[in-house]
Amino acid sequence: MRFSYRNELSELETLAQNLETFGDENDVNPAIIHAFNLCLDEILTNIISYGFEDVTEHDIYLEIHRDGEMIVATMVDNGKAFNPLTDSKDPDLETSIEDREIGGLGIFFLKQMMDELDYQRMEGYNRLTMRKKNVELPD
Amino acid sequence: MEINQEKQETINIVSLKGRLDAGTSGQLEESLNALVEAGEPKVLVDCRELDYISSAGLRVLLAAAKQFKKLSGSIALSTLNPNVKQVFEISGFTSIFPIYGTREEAVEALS
Repeated sequence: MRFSYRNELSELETLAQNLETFGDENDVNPAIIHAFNLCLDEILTNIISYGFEDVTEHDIYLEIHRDGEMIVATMVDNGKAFNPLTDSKDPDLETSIEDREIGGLGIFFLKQMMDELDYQRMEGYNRLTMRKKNVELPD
Repeated sequence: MEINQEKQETINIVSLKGRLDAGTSGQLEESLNALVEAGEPKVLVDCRELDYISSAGLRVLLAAAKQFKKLSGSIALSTLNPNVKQVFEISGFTSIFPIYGTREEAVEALS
């Protein structure tokens, strides 16, 4: 399935609805849909918040499908180059309230929750693919 | 997202309903900042009807926790659904926030 989003934070709600539809139609475990919702939300939020320096409207594209046991989602945008695999520092989870830094968690979720991540920068586009195995629900 | 606020004795209970993401977290930030400014040190965030939280929501809760700490106050959470709880666990936030199974337990602990 293909979806597109404008660079506005209200689109996060639309993303959630789209993923629910995808999950229902492809018989995907709701816990797996939640993982994709969270990870795609974090990426979409980053793109909308930091990806564009102008204030004009931009489209961000999502393609998601089921390939046997695997769920595969690719998000594509023409914002600033950003490789989440290398351009983000993991948070320190052990510090106290006072020292705990605010931020860095979004990308950390992707690394923790997805089975595979793949980033490419091509012809002015960021292309991030995430894969995670579905977990069958008991009948 | 809907936010409801009530006060029980000295405890301010902030109930969240819906989705706490980058598009809605500003609303919670305003509510919690208002409590900090009013010098209200005891806050319970009731998550019984909270369907979803992203790092933007965690960011607002952490910023508030830092403020309440300065007031020598406390902020606790109750009734996290499994998705919300998982996000707290991955983030290491379960060791930053006191989290209770029910609102009643949380109120008792804060009293």
